[in-house]
Amino acid sequence: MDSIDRLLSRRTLLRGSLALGASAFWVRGAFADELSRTPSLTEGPFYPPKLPLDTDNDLLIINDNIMPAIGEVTHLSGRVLSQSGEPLRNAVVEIWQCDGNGVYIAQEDADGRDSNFQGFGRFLTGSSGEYYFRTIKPVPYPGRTPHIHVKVKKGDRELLTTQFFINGYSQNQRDGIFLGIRDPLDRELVLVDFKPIQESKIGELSARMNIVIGRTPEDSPDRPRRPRGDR
Amino acid sequence: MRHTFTILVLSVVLGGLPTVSTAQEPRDRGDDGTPATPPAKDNAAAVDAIVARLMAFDKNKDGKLTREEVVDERLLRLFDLADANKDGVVTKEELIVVAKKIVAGDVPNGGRRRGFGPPGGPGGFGPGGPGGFGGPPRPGQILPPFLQEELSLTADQKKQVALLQKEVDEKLDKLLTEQQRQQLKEMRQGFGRGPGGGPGGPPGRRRRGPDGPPGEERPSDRGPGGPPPDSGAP
Repeated sequence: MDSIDRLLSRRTLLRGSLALGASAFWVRGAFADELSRTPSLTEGPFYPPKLPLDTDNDLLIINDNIMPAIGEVTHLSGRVLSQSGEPLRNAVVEIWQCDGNGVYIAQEDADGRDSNFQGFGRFLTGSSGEYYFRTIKPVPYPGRTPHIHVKVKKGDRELLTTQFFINGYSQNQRDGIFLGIRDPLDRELVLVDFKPIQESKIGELSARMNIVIGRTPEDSPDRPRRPRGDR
Repeated sequence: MRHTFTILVLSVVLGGLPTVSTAQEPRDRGDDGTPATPPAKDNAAAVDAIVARLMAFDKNKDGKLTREEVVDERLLRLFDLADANKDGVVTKEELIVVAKKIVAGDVPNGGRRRGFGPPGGPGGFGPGGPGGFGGPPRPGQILPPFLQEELSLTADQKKQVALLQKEVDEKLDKLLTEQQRQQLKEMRQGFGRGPGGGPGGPPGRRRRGPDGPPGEERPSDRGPGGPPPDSGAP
């Protein structure tokens, strides 16, 4: 690994973000539902019907020594928590978004798809509930403000489907899906700051957003389930 | 260099112009399709709701919030915004100030100047609805007044911003066609009206430059009378 990789290694970032997270979380389950649930938003039509070959948490497919203009590289992380602040372990967090040209991997016949962008990623949380992805800062898609799709599952149950937005991006205020979140405080929960990483020589960004999952009965018959298998 | 700067500023403010893709749920509009204006009491209720939700973090019930009390990290950004004197403590008064700004749409996530709730729906077509309570910057506005306050601009700086604004306005006027200038003027009149302002921009104007070059495809074009751009969109 070159020095940037070492600096920005997952471990370093995890350590840093755990330190941040620790101050807000000092007694397990002490919050008694103080954390608001992350609002649910539509899945949209581009959840990949077939998983790409690569389903790790790194959405960039970059050959050594080549740094193509894939987009603004972003390290996205956060913790998956219950409303009482307990971390959710063994939860699968998935993200998907269009590439720098506005094309989703699910759009198989589309021209101009960036082959250096995996477009879909997956991460299994550990005991801290932390998740982490390397991706790009989202770009506008025709008719939509920039966003990253997010899904959280546990076992074969889907716990949440939502979208993250860029805080301060003016097009948010003209996006029907974003504005569908009526409560301004709830909007805060999906608005993400993309901040430059000081040490990065290639302009990488860091983005952090916790995901709070509402309480659900363990075996709710109403929960959407996906068949077991390669999903 | 100066020229480049002006172009940059222009592209930033033009980038802020509303685009066509603002389809909202039909129920947010009055019967004649114009966006409903929220009564003042809905906004007051909205402010109260925001304040109540944040003050719920006030563990020791002393009427103030400390950073430590706000255990939801995601709300710390709002906390910092509310903490006007940066002393790590947010009083209920500071909270009310910020809540009002949010409801008025004066902070990035604020959506429309309508607060929230069914009568206050976003209802944006064309220029994005009437001004009302301050609201987002009008098209072409470099640094809206509330931002100048946030940044504590000196009187001299404010004067220079005003001069810059004049320059931007003049250059913008020069590069637009007469029709575009007229449309922009109508949009501007739609902003910054007092509470209970009228329907704002020209109704039914869903696109910029309808007489633009034929066959020009812009990414946000959906064709006349097409389906609302955001229903089921990815």
